[in-house]
Amino acid sequence: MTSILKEINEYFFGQSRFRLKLTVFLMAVALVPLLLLGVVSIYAININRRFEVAALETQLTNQKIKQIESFLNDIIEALRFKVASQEPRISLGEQNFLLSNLMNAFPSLEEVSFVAVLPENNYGKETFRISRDKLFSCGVIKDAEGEKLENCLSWSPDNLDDPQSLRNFQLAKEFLAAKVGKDYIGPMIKTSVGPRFIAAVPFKNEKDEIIGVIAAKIFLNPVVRLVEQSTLGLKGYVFVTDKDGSVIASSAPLFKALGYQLKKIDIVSSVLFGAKRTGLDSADAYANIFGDKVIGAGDIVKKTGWAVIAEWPEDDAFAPSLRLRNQIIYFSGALAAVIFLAATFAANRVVRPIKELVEGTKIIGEGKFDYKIDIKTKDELKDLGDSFNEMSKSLKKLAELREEFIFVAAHELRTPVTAIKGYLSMILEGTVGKISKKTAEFLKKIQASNDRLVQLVQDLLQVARSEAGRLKIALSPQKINESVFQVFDELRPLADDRNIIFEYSRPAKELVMADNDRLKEVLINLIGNAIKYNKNDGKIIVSHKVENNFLVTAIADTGIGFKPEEMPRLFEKFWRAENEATRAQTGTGLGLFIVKELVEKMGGKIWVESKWQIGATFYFSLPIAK
Amino acid sequence: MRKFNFPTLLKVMALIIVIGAVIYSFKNQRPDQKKIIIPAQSVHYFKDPSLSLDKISLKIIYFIPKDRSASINQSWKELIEPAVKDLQSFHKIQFDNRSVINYEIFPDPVIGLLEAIDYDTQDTNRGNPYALSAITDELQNRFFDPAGDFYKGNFAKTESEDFSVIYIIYQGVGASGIQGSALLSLSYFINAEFSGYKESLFYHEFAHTLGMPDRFDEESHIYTSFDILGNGKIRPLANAYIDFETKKEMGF
Ligand SMILES: [Zn+2]
Repeated sequence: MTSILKEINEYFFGQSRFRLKLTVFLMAVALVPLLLLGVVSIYAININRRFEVAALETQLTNQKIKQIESFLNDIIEALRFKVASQEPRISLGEQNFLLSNLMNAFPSLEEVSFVAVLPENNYGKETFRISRDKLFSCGVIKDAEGEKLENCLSWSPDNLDDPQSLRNFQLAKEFLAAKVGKDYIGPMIKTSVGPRFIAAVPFKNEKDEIIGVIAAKIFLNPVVRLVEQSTLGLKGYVFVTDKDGSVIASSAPLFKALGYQLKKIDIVSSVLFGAKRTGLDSADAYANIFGDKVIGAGDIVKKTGWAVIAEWPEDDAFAPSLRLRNQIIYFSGALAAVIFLAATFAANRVVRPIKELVEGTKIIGEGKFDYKIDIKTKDELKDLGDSFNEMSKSLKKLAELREEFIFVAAHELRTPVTAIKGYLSMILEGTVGKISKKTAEFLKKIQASNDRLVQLVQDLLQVARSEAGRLKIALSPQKINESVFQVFDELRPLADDRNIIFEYSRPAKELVMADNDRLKEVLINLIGNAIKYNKNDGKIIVSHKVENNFLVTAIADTGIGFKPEEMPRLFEKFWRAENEATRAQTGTGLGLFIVKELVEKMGGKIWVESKWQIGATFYFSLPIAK
Repeated sequence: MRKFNFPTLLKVMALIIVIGAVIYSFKNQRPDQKKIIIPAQSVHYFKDPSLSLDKISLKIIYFIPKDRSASINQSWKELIEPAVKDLQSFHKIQFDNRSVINYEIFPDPVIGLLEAIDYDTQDTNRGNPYALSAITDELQNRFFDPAGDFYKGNFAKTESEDFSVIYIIYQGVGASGIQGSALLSLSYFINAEFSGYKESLFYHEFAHTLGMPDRFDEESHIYTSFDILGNGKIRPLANAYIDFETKKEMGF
């Protein structure tokens, strides 16, 4: 299980510069333009949307202003009737007729009064009143014609506080304005049954004389309704305040309950001051009284000085671009994931065969020409792998040729050098007559050189045989300590020459699986080297230990040892350490290579530990015989 | 290149995404309930910003002169309480919820220490202001002085920041109000002729306790407004309103 996870981890997150480059490149190519395009298009959409929002808001406020104005105009124009009379007064009957008609035509009139203007007609006093509540409708009972209407009391200072009396308008604002010819539209009045306002207009006769004032109390419920019915997106709303900043109506339920003084809010106060707000200015994006960011626009109802404001929360107003932004974010995320997977897949497709090639060339480089690079990509990479395989085949052939040549050469050399060796021995032993001291000395030098040549030829043959697989090894249980003692005996003269002593700390009782001759060859080589490269008066210690069914034999010397950088090359063909000590010694550079081959062929391993100037220890292991 | 390896890049990307998500979710967290972030202006006593009317404590006492104790109206409370509730909601609407009235009706009729003539004096015109001041003085001693016979901790207690109003429902004649106290005859709640606008009268006198003046010309007594402080006091409360001229002296 963990190995699968490891493989997955390696597949997706393993270190590969190529994949990183590929991923970064693909992301740059795919994501950067997408994000740039997204940012630009969101920006563009936002700007465009801001225009749309402003336009919709302005359209809405304009529409509401128009509706409010037409509502007001209709009523004010209706109040402003002229009478087809040149008289300075109209009769109560006519007043009743006119006012009743008005009340019938306009359900939003709560109450309408006729107030006399001319001094001779009771200046400033209500002469007729019709109220929706009949209890408060009233007309004068005592007038010039002696008219009398039901349910009415005359105006007099004595019954000032009688609800059914006619009122004195002399000091009322609406009267004071209208009697001099101005239309009066009062502030919004708040009552328990809804907002209303007072309006008054002059009443003229045919001579254009102001003979009276029509004063009315008007329900604003139609305005409230037409504002409440407005819609602006999902969350946008519109509200109307009077000129003191009190909310008359709003399409937002929260504002309705609020009844709030909004004069302190920038947009309300500026609109009340007469500044049109278009929704396009930077100041038109602000936080509303609930702290929500909104786009606002507004304008004034000129007739009344009321402000009509539309506010649209940004999250709703800009919902289309928010949606697009989210889509771009989700899409980019998905694309990034896809790119990551695709890049991983593509990179692994490319990198895996390359890694295979790298591994393969390393193995072939080590001389294992049989290794086959296996790439199944069915493309140029596979061709590359195939030609690598072809190359290693050729290399193998070359190597075989070279081995064959060495074998043949060594084989052919062996006979003459052996012959030379024989004849030299005989000459030196005096078989062919006496020789002078000088001659013997020279011949000995020739013999030494020839011995080296013989050794070289033997070594070469052995190497060639080994490489050609002709090296014959017969494994059987062997007493290794006996071999050690034999080698000690054989090499003792060499050691004694330089006063080097052998130590065999723990002769092994275990039998090892080995070829007796080859084992001895290994020991002679290693112990011989230990003598060769030891200091005078040095020591050679041979010991054993058992490790996992293998017997490990250690041969330690007190020589100069190896430098760390030399250690990996010790067992290479023809390699010799370059230093004072080795230069003094002869050698073919094949010894350790042959030893390694032999140990490995017997199923063991060889390795070395060393400290420069202190000594070296060679270890080899052989399987313990059962 | 070595330090900038792929897992690190991924971790950084994941971290950025997580941080982004956290910031995004914080930014989009909206309070469940909308709160108004602009503080409301305080409502205050007419032309006196130092006296806040944000909270008004209204104490209502049915008061009977000693010599009229026989004519106590047993259903006085049922007559008054609807008008008190109307007063409360009318006030709330007119002052945009910014001034709140808490009322308490003293449960028992209070018999005066004096006779009617002592409160009323000879002159009960213009709403009987003499009775108002005399009774207010007596109630101060009896209700709000710890030595008084009606001193009851709870009824006397008002929050220090509350504006306190005593409203006397008088078994007698009168309708008047001055700062902090008002008087209205119980007869307004009984006689049918006032039935259309008794609540308006009741509020009108209450309005005087908050300093709101009558809207008529002092000399001629001609009304300058038809709101509840003018002629509107004799109209139904449903149609009544307080003119902006008055409200703008009270924090509007
Ligand atoms: Zn008054």
